[in-house]
Amino acid sequence: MIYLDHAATSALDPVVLAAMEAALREPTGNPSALHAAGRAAQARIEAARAQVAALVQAEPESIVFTSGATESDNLAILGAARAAHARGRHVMTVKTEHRAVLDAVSALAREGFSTTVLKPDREGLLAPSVIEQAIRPDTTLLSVMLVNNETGVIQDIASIAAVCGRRGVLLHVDAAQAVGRVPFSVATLGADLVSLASHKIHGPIGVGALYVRHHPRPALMPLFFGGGQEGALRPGTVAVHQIVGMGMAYAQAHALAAQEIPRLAGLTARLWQRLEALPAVYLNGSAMHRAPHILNVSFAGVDGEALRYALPELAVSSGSACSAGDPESSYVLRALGREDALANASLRFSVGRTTTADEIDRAAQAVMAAVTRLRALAPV
Amino acid sequence: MSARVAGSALVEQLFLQTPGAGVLTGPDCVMGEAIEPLSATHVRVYLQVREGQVVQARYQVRGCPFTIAALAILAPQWAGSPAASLRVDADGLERILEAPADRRGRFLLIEDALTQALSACATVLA
Repeated sequence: MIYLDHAATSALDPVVLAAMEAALREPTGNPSALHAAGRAAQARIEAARAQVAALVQAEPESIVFTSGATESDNLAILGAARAAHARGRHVMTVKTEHRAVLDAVSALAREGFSTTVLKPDREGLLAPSVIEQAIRPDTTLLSVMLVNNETGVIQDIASIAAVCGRRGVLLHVDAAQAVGRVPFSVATLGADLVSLASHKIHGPIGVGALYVRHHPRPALMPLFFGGGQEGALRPGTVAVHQIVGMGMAYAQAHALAAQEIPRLAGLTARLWQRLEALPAVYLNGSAMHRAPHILNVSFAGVDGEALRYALPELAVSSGSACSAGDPESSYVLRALGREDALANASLRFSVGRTTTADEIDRAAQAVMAAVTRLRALAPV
Repeated sequence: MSARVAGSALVEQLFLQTPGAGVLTGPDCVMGEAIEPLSATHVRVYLQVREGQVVQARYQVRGCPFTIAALAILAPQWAGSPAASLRVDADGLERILEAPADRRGRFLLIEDALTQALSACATVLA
């Protein structure tokens, strides 16, 4: 099996696992307790918070731990919109966002908020001028992801943030795919709220974080109630070992970034170089503004399901949200103007720390053989 | 077809080997085709018919693994049969291939292609 689905999830780093095991073996202490065991647990959480903050160059106080980026997106969007409802009830996002964002915005619409879903250009980029025109006097929030999870396209968040700042609109950024792959600082990004994932960069599943700008701090309504943990934004007993794992994953990503990011870019470039030797293959999303770890390619003239079926040795994602019923082609690729059939015949390759050049070569060979065979079978 | 063969393994085998795939050309050959635009499934059925008997049957297909597997079952079965007896048993294919119910439309597409080929057979080869 060649695993090229690191944008979906990545294997736990052994160093992270060791840190989590150590945390689990420590004497039980509720971090909220004042006794020694509680204080020790709290210290481990604060150390992890500092590790997470360091990678995105944030103040540790601005990091709120959650159960994952999906919860972070929900807390940011629902929390910020509800808190600002007296000022305005219009929120905006983009067609190519992750479901966690789109569904949260839909939930606001059901609550009576007015919503606008912006369309990116054919490269998947959102021009700041489009945002400028869409902002209304009652707009309170815009949510735009830094790196698209399907195409790897990087948005110009700093320019978008400048528009939002000028017009008094809060900016939430889902950076789940960016962390550890596209270096950024929350200060230069200019966002008020940033969702962070753990398991995309060899950390544990079940933990994530939301950066909440410290100065000035945007008002947020919590989603849950029942305690004052995490600044009362995420009440409940804190999962110390999960957070320790996330902190260690961020520390590892920080330490390895200088060597790992160019290596990932080299792997996806190598894969594209091989695949583009086939006729009628199309790179999805901007060729210029893209994350190093994701390559999304459409193959004309083949059925998407047959293509995936022909590649049992590859763990890749498709351009299809295929369920038991009729396959529905990717809404992200369709938003970029791809026809249904071509969007359906797309593969997302995403590389990670464990991916080797040899695996890339074998994957390219397998894909080329499968596409060639299926095209030979098809009517011209 | 052995009932002991699991559907998924059978689909995999037929998908990989595609028995009967190809094109037939010649004065005693006809072709029928059907396209389903949404999924871009495209089926072509070729029959070589002499004196009402199918000598050979071939197909071309762009479609899901179940569509490919279904044609790989049908084409070899059609060879040697009277043209008038050819049919597509969607229920049977669904059962043999353990196909999800939503694939029935793909099997009916094969039936459309076969019907067109048989109608060409009646007019062209009459």
